[in-house]
Amino acid sequence: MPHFSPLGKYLSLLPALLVFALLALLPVINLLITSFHEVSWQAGTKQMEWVGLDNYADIPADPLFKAGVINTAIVVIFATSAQVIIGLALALGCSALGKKGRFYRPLIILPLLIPGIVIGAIWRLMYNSEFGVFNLILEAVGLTGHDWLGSSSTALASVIVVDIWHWTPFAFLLLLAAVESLPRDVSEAAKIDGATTWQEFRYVTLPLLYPAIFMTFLFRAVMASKIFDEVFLLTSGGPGTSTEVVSFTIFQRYFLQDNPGYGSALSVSIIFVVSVIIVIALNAGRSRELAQS
Amino acid sequence: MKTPEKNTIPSMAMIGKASIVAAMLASSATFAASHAPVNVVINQSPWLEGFAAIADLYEDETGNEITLDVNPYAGSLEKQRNAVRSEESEYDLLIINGIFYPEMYHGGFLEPLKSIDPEFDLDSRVYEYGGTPWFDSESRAIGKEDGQLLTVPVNPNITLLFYRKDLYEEKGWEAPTSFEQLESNARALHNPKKMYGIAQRAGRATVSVTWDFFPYIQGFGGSYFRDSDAGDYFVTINSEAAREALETYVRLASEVGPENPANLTQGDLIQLLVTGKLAHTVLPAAAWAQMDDPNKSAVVGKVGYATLPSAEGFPSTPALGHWLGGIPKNIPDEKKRAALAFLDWFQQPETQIQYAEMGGAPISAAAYESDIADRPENRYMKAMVTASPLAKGMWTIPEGAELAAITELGLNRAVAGEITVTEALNSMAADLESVLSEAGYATGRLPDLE
Repeated sequence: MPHFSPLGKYLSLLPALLVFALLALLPVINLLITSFHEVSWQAGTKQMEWVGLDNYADIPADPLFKAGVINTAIVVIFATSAQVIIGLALALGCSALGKKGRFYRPLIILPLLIPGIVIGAIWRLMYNSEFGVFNLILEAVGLTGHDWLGSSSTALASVIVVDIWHWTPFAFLLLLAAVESLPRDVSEAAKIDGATTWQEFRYVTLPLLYPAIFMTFLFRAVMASKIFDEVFLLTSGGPGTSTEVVSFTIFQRYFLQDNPGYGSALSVSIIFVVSVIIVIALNAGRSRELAQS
Repeated sequence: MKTPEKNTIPSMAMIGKASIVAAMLASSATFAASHAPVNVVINQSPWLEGFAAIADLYEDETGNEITLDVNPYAGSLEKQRNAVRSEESEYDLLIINGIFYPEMYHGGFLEPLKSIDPEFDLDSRVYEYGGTPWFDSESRAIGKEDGQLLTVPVNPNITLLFYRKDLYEEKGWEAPTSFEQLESNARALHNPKKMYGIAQRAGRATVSVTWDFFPYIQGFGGSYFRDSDAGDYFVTINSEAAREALETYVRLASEVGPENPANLTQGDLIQLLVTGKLAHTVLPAAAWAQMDDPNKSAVVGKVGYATLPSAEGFPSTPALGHWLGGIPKNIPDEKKRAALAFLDWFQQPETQIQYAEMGGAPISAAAYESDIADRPENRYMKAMVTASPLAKGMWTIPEGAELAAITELGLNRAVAGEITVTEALNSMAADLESVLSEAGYATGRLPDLE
């Protein structure tokens, strides 16, 4: 095999680094620069006035952002946990069915393939207080219907249900791949040793799946923190601030209110917080692996 | 593009219509088939169908091509911003909302119409909507006196009270002129699930509840700002009158409306009304076209229109949220001329009468004072004649989007019951003052309500 000098190895990375810099770093740097400015338009020309950290200083007092952070955290925790648990159950079930399970896979994956706008339409109809399927069922059994999206007490939970329905297939796919790649001999050894199904799952399958579950949770948590389309289509952040999420706040501040400076500051803050959480989570995962080894 | 179905027209009217079309054909001969295609960016509104029909008529008569790029409200605004800020706008005509036009004016994005054609002027019968088509770029003030003509009104969006005329006639009532009467009538007709007394928008959007609440605050003798028409942006949204107005708004929403008042959109209101489940609502005048369409409405001929009520001693004040057609600076001259030719044709008295017949809401007195206003299907026009001189705009400064974001949130939270009326008014006042102060306006606010 030919040997390359260390310099050659580094140089070979250069094209990839350049592409990365152009596609990923440059837009973030641009965002960062904009976040220190107030942007306005005079005589058809863009004016950028340096305002230092003013945009960042305004963030803590922003009522939408505060509500957005809390609601986003609720969505991340509840939606992601439910998706991983249901996804894992479905993956184990499908895997246990062997070849018969292949029939169910496309059905389970279906919600993932439906465009967001269609999902919005489907669930808006289902939640409709006048003729939605949920209220029709409630009324059929003698209960009073409820305005799921219009009531502050149920609006966020209703959005979370849609997110779970939409994204559980993603968790299912990742976890199914992990379940199907588990070594069979360990399970068989457990069975020979007299382990019950629950004991096999609890002490053999689950520990082996921890890395996959962790990564699935992390992926979905990051994706859930960016939730936008369900909120935009179903509630627009209301009623009040009950379904306000961070992405929707950024959309309103940056685009609707045409405030790129402040919108950029919000965006940079969120990128920073999510990056920190990912790094902490990855390190926690590695520490766990080291402790186990 | 589809033309709305028309009602049966008497033979004399047919003759009149034919002569109008003939006159229009003659008057349009000067620019027949001689202009570049015009690309129009427009929002999806209740009056779109009428505008699309009139654009079709223009194409038929002149051979000039008009393309409509139809978008939701926020999408249209975003496309307009992107277009005027680019090297060359892909749109030749912007249909700009009466709330957001100041940012187009102050940003210097629109071509003064007399720069395109020095002879061009608004037809004398076109309503001037508080001088909003004119802007003085030196003093940065809206108004005809010193301003240059930047836009042509294309839709007279003002709020009207839509009510069930048939139920009123059964009870022997007149259209309500006071909030007290409105509330009393709404309570009398309220029969949940079958008929709601009143429903009004309170859902948070780009500009929604802010616009619908405006007639209330004004009608109780309050205001968002001390005198925005005169450029006085001292914040007065937290006045006692405003508290009374918002308490009334919230009370009506929570006691005699559907159970989801804080989530109601304009589409919901129209849906409730045309399905016969709503006794009163407040909608832009242009929504009239959907009330009498037998394909969409179960209440054909049953909806009446009136100017909005007010408290005793104060005038009815419908909210002005009209639409203006403006031509971007960053397009080739031939495109500017083509867009102006369409606007010129559109504003002519004959076209405006046609526009009304096609389901649009005209912007010219020529239509409202013509015989067609006497037809039963055009009964909204009588209310428009009363309401138009009373209508007021909310503000004329480019920070409108930021101001609306504050009021949309505060009013929506009050209706949703997240915060009290007093908390909502005080917090909105503080936030409005902060935005205006940061933008460099001489402002201030009333002391907090207790």
